[in-house]
Amino acid sequence: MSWLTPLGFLGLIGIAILILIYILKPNYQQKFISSTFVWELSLKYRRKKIPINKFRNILLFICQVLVITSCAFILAQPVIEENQKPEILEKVAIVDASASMRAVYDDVSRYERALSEVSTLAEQVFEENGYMTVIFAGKEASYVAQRVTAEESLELLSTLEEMINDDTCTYGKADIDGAVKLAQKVVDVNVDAEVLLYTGTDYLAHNGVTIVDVTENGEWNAAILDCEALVEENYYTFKVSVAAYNRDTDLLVHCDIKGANGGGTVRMELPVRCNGDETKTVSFVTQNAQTAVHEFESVHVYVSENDSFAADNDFYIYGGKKPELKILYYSPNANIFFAGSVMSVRDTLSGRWSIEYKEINKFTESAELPVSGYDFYIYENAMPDIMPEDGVVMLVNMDKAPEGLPVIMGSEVNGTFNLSYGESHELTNRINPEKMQLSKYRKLISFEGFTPLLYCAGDPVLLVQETEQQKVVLMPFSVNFADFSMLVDFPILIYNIFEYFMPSTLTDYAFDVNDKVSLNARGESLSVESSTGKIKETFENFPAELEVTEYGTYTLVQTPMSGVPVEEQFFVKIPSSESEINKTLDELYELIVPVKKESENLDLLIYFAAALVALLLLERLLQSQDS
Amino acid sequence: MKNSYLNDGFFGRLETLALNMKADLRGFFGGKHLVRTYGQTVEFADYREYMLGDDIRRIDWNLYSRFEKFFLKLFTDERQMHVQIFLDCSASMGKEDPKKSNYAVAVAAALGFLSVHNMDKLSFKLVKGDKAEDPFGTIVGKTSFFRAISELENLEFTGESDIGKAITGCHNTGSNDGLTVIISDFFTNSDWKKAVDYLVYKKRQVLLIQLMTPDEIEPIYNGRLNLIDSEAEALEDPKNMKLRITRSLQLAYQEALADFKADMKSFCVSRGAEFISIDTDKKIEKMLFGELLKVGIMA
Repeated sequence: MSWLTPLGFLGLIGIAILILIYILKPNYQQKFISSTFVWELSLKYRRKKIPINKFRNILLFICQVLVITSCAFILAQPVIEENQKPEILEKVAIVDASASMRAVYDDVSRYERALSEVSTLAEQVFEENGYMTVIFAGKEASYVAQRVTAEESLELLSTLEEMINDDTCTYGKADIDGAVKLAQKVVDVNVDAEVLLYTGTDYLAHNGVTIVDVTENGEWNAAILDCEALVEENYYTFKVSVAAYNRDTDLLVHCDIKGANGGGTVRMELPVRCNGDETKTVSFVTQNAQTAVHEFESVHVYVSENDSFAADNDFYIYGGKKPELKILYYSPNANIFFAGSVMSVRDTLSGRWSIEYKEINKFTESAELPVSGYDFYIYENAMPDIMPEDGVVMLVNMDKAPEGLPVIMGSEVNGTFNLSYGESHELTNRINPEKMQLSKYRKLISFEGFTPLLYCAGDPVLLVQETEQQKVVLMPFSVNFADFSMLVDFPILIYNIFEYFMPSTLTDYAFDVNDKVSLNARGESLSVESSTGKIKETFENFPAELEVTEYGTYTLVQTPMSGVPVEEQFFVKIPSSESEINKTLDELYELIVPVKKESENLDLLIYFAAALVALLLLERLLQSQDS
Repeated sequence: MKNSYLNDGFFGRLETLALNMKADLRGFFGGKHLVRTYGQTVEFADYREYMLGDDIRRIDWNLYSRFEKFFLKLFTDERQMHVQIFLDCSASMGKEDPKKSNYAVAVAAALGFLSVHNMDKLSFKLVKGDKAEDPFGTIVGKTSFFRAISELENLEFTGESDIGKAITGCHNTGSNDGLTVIISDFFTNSDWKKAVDYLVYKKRQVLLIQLMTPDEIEPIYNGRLNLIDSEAEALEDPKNMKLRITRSLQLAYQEALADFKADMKSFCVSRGAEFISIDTDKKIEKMLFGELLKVGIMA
């Protein structure tokens, strides 16, 4: 306990004054009365004193002394100083693990330099018995060590060394904000903790965080930031965004077109002057070149510079060669509706597929019924003896059930019917059966394993079967006895069959690190492998999602119903912002440092005031007893 | 000191009153007090048969005509009483509070006036120490009464008094001939009960009048006090008391006083004496017309 106003103790002089009053106070005052006779008698009537009465005077005096003491204490303003926690040395090191931290100078990357400096800092902190926290700011921020002391120093230092050796730096952006939030938790515990961010990025406002620059003066980076394959008058033009950071230099941009027009490799190169960290665009136009490219397997765009950050020197463009789809339409009496719809879909999906369409009718030289070698079979009016097993089959107006098709056909039903919905399915998306009319269809007695999608007078007239072996669409009526084929719903149905059974594997061929890539497959499974082999996954449920954490080429392999494996590739690049190794950002996530209280005292005034009141009441009680 | 009570107005108001004494007193011839003995007054009392030697003039001839027997007509007797007023002249009666002594003298004077007004004999006995002084002798008539009163007004109240010794030692207390009034505060250790017993023995009607000031009835002082008794001769006198007067002691005082008065009353009742206790703050008329009427002394 301490006193804010020690002079208040001068109030204790009051005790001396009280004693003086007691001394000076005359013991008995003379009172002249006519007779003491009755007083003498009254002594016999006086009640027997109880012990407290005997000590009442003493108690009264003690009470008065305590009242004066309490007053003096109140004047002195008593407080209890809370035990101030001794200032503990504590450091919070946030290690930026973004791709730009991979910039190397003198064979040491920024990331390695940062970890080394953190190790040195940790040793210094442990020497002074401090606390050390290390936060890894990767794709997501996480603690490497949280408020560890010298006892765990070896463990922390070995972890940091492992992080250097295991190449734990990411290829994407770092969650610096998340790391500061984690640091905030430490600062909340210990307001004296210093937060240091080891990074190559500069911040105009770093809001309570100490920025430790781990860059070196000689670092520079030449980068292919983005590439785009544009079709101009049926030939490809490759537009390349390129930049050089921290150095003004002339770059030579190479463009190697592999499998150009189904042949060899076409090599092109263009010089570009990069200065002021500005992004330049270079276009490789093949139309006017020696070999005009209308098809390619892949394009490798790169700069051959010995810069600090090599990961962004290469860029691959895929998707220059569209996968082939073979479609067969067999009908002795072929009509234009199927051909027109398929052609319409082929044109619509020409950007994704190279669709080969073949029609066989009674006038075709070879009128044999092929049951293999196609991705999509459409049989109308005349059914094959056996079901094809290497593609999607659509059976229209069956005259018989092919072998292997679990369907028993019944008699034909004539009349005028409107169609109605069956089970909801992607094949009937955007199709309105209620406006369709049908005058003749064949009743199916048994259709085990099929899902009815449309009904006519209670009988299924559009069915689908999806098994590992067979993907069948069944339409037991002729388009000649329905207005279905004349409506827009018919080409929509054909389009839906393409989209559902033959989806595109990828939506794009270039992604940034840490992007989520949506994958689809025509087969039962799809395997993905990165160029380094570190990422290797197989998907069986689609659409699937893959998070790409490495840069480079990823290879997708799937086996469709045809049994022939299909291989596709896409490229994952370093985010353009990470290529800018000398970037300056406006503001870092604000670290809220609680205001450190100089001293926090527990005011005892209220307790002494309460004691004073209690003593005054007691004194009053004793006085009243006395009189 | 001039007594403020004793003036013409005061005595004028008393002229309508009279002392009512017991009928079995003997008294003296003359006077106005009716007694049980038969006398020569005009007030009829009884009849009795004629006996040899009776005065034939007292025969009631009307009765003789009816009964043919001789009956005498008897009349009540009127006697003169001797009222003795013993006034305690100790210091406690007025040294500290003259109002109390004035009041005592006034009460004595009032009773004395009633006596002389009813043609009784009156004696003022001043109790000083263990003696009862009789400075005025037997007073008969208002002239000598007022002479005595004028001297009583200058009476000094000092020293102690022993009522018991003073009264029992008094040589002319009389016997069966009147009323004895003792005016005092009775705040004394002396045996005043002996005096009452003595007077009762002497077949006198006894009236004890206790006078107390309001301060004596309910003391308002408290704290540490050295109570100096007015009868004390020095500070070291054992009558003086050092007391720490608290509320409880004040309550004890009142209890003691109440018991003291109750004891006096009970003693007087047991002896056939009358007792009244008077607050000197009360008007003296109230005492005369209230308290004395209540006990039957006044009529």
